[in-house]
Amino acid sequence: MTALTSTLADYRHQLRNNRLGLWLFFVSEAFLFGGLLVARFYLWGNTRPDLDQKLGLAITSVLLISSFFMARAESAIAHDDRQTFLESLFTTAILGVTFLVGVVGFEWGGHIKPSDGAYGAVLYGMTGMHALHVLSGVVFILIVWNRGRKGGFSAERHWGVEACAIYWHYVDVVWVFFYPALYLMGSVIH
Amino acid sequence: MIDVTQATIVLAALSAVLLVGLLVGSLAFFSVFVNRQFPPEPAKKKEEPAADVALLSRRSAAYRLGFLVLTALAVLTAVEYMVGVAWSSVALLLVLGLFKAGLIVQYFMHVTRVWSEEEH
Repeated sequence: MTALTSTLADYRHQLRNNRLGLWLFFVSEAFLFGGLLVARFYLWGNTRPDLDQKLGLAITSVLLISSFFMARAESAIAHDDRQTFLESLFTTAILGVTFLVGVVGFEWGGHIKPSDGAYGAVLYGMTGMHALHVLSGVVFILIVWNRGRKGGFSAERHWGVEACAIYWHYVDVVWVFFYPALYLMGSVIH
Repeated sequence: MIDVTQATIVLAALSAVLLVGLLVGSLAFFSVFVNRQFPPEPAKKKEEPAADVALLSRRSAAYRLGFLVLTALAVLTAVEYMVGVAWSSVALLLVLGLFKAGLIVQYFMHVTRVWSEEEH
């Protein structure tokens, strides 16, 4: 075995381990978000607070579009399209910040407060924990973008971009379940 | 029982989805029509090495797939919103959520790479 094939085999082995590790981390995170969902169904039952439906739909759309741009960024670097990679990654970060503004700036500024019993506790617990993950995702994206700007990734080697993309999509998947649980399921309590 | 406000929202959302569908459909139709009627002149086409053409083709396919997944997610979210506003069926909303999560996990997160030998 030559030094080159040995290095390549090592890299592939490392890549497999990295992916497995990341997915195991997601499994552990699923318990956290699953617990919050269980709390929502236990405490709210078949009811929900009167939240702004348009805002919920808008921030959900923003997060889904951000996932599209993140997938585009990953495809771009995998196909050696550096310009699209950097543009898409930056767009994803902007959309992530827009989502945060929607949740923290508008939803949290609504009529429900954290002290409003089970409704306030669950709403702020779920959106707060999710927003924290979005915030860490935006920081992760900006770090990857900065490294990408300096030529730190190539079509052959871009595990950092792949990990960042998978993390961002995971945050999106969590919101796919949180959105209907918070905004759509159950009858409105006034 | 659906009241007038809910029915209006459902109709507005349905109209928006139909409008977007019509717009995308018309654009696709006219793009095919224009390409057939006025094909690009082959003489002006830049000659590229075969490897570059293959890379560009794979890149376009990857971008197209991303756009298709986004379209599917948008349609499912619109349906989810209508179901939530009109009926608030927990079971149906869960099924729709699972579909959306499945699309993201399969096409954006590439879950199969965990157990396959596939590289980036």
